[in-house]
Amino acid sequence: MMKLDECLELLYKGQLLPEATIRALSYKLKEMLVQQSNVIHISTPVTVVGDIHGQFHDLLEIFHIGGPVPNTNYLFLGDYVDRGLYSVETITLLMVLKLRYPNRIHLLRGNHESRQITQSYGFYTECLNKYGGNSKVWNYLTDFFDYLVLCCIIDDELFCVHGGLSPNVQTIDQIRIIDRFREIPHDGAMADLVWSDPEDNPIIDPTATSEGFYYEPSQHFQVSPRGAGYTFGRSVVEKFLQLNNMSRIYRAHQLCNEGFQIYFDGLVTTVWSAPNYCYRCGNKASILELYSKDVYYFNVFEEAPENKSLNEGSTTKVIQEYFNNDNNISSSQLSLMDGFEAMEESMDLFSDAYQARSAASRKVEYFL
Amino acid sequence: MLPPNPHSQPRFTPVQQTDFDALGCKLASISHGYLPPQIKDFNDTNITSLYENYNQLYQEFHAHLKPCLSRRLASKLNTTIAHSLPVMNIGTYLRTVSIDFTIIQYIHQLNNSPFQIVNLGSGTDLRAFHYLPQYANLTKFIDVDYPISLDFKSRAIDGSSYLTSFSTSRYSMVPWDLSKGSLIDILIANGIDVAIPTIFITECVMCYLEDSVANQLIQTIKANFLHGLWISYDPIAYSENDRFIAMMNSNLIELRNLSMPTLLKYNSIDKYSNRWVSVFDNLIAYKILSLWDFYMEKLSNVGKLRLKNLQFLDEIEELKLMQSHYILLSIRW
Repeated sequence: MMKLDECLELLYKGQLLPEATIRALSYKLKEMLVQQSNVIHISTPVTVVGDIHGQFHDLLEIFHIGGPVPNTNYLFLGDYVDRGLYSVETITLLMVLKLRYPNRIHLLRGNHESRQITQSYGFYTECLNKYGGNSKVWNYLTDFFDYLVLCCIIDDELFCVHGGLSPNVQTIDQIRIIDRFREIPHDGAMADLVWSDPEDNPIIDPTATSEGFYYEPSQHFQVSPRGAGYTFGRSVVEKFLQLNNMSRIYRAHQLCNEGFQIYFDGLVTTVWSAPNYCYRCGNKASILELYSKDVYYFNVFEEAPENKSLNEGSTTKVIQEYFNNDNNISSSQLSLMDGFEAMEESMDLFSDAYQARSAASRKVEYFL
Repeated sequence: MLPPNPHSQPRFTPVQQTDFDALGCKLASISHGYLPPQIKDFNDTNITSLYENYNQLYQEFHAHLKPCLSRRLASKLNTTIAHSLPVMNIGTYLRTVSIDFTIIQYIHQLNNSPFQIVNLGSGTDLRAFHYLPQYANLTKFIDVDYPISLDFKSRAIDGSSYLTSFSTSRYSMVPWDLSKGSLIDILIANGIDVAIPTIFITECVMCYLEDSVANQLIQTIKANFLHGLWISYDPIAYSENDRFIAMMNSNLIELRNLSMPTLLKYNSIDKYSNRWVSVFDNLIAYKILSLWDFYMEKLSNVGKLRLKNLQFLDEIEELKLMQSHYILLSIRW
């Protein structure tokens, strides 16, 4: 207990935990989670949080506006890592909170809690950058991801999952029998639960009448425009809810300009909790405060006033400053370049870790 | 030949540096397999013959560019190529292919009669090197840009016998500053015939110009060239309250010291296209669409699937948001 509180103190200040600590946390959590069903049951009051994507300052902001753990109960819908610059800080804070207050915070698995996705979308690179080329931090954390539960039912009637529904799942029992302790597969029920989306635009009916095209919502699952999963319409949702005696679905997974998005007269709602996503989308975010199953509030917020960088080693800081100044190279800054080159001599320029370091000061990207 | 001393590297302005972003993005898009387009990417048009030597061209160029780069810039390019995200790679694909797609359709209706291409603010773009071999009736291809940018580009080209073999008399690099006058004179001096249909490309160029300079450019070209096609690719705002654009504007200024003087002024597709439409009273047709619309309408399902599977695209909303905020205008007169 004491050690967890020490960890929390460091984490709330934005500091990184040692690799050995992360290894221990992963093991402890796997021990806890292996006993849990794929489907967990919790009660209101609880605050539901959508995608965070490494936006650590915004996670702290969520605890400010929603109340700290354990004063407030939280259900996180997944996607803790990738895209933002502080995925490691984000996931480790949530892990320590889960160990410290196991009944006050619950974590679902998102499609980004995966080895494959995190290699393309930034988490792998961030682990390399912060812990060095020889570290196993990414391995420990992605191993831990395999143990995250898949969905949650609140008050026996609110179904919560990261993505959405699956054509391979009609009943909750079918979710319970999935073997979840693995990398997210490309297809099948487990993939669909973390990848699917509610139908945004009903499909155009190609056999339109002479009045012109009319839109008809689909009766079945449709292939998703994403890499995996399906899209599902209202009637699929109604069937699922009726069969399983539930009233609504809460999920995340899709960027929402206003922080949340309601579909099908409230049968499905998306909660999105990463404001100004990737520092360029300009979107709002929200957390859903559920007081009881029928009394709730979407607490909408915008991007946190950010500290420009969290506590980092002095070497990284100097490199960051150097890259931040790359617009202003001039003869008066030769001394900075000299200093940089002196430092470079002790660094392998072609290593993954070095390349990843420059990625840490990655600028916001546009087509220029 | 000794590699240049990085301490004596020429100093590029923030606008000139955007060429390196574009180059990095293009190399990344090629390295991950998005570019060049494949035969089934489009429903009704096959443009792949234009890209026959594409990979080799850019590989050669990149290889011969490396000795000219400072370590900082080389590292920046390598980072972009290695870590480029799917949303960026697809966006680069769309940007590149939509321009070529539009040009090819124009060229086809010329029925082999002679034409010219002027690539304004070309940077390190290598379009000349795959257009010239493809079209015998392309009598002249001119890249126009700042002296420093063209000098940088030619150092890489000169180092490669493969690349210099493309430098026929039909190709010229014209160093010039778009904000100064007498563009027409210098184009004519480099072999341009104002009576022949001429294609003008401004790929992320107009957005960096002051309003008066941009208008002047449009007026000048209209006044001097009898027939042609102008293709312009730029970011666009949709209203005064466009949050994505407001964020873009402040990010670029804060992080890159880069300003886009007309970005917030022409905050609708009509306002943007009207800059040309109000000047070209002799226009035959014009079209303006967002790159998201291009993605949805022009790419086949096979093409969309191919792009998505290259790197496991997750962020379709983000792709839509970004691509909706870039437009392609084509105007024929």
